[in-house]
Amino acid sequence: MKPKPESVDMAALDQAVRLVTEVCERALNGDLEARVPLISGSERATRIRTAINGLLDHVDAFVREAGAASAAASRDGSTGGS
Amino acid sequence: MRATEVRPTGVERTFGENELIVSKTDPRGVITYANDVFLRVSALPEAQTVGSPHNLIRHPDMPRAVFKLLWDTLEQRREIFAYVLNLAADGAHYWVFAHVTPSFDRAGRLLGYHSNRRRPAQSSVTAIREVYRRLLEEERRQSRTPDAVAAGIAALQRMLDERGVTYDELVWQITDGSGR
Ligand SMILES: Cc1cc2nc3c(=O)[nH]c(=O)nc-3n(C[C@H](O)[C@H](O)[C@H](O)COP(=O)(O)O)c2cc1C
Repeated sequence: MKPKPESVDMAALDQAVRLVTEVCERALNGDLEARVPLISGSERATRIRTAINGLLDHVDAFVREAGAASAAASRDGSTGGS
Repeated sequence: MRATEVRPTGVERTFGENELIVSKTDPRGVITYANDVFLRVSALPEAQTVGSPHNLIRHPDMPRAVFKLLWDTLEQRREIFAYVLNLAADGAHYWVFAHVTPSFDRAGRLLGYHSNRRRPAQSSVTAIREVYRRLLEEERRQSRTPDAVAAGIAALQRMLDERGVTYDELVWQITDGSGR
């Protein structure tokens, strides 16, 4: 009855899971530099790559902007509290 | 140098208020990462972007002095905020408010640079356009590139002195809407 599902490139998905896991583990260890490299062969793999990298980009940008704001506050002579 | 000269079409492109345009470079300014928003807004395929020098999206109406200031600041291991006009591969242009920072490893060694860019307010673009127009005017009087850079830097310094502000203060005034 149901049409055969589009063929899933299991190798590409497997690779995606491995790469995403590695990048998340590095981020957990405080290394926000890592990003998931290009994965070809699977639409779903590409989507998870873009989603994880986008998440990391936002966290990374936030950390850098927060650093800039606290540097500016200390330049302004504010005690900054803590 | 870009492989083929892109002609500006005059078409302006914008991006979402909550979107970030992100790229990273090695210490020489060669792109090592570009996010999906960067690629979409710049009309570039990833394969052509990663590995290219960052002047891949340089717009001819950007003053040289701004990039000189950017690199001088980064070389001092400091961050910089700057308004930048970029040229997409299809000839469209887009304004960004960029925060460019050096990235270090745990031992404090320079890994490269990171730029994250947000969509600027229209009023900020109007204000910075006027600043850059004056810098360009001075730069374009010179025929040699180093002279143009020096003329642009001198013009920028004069503007800052006139207003009695530092570069950072000027940028924040423009961002907060008091820079006119
Ligand atoms: C992290 C980083 C991001 C940069 N982003 C841009 C950019 O968005 N647009 C741009 O024209 N130059 C950017 N630059 C500066 C370029 O490296 C280059 O100095 C500039 O385009 C001027 O090129 P030119 O010397 O060939 O005129 C960036 C540099 C770094 C380190």
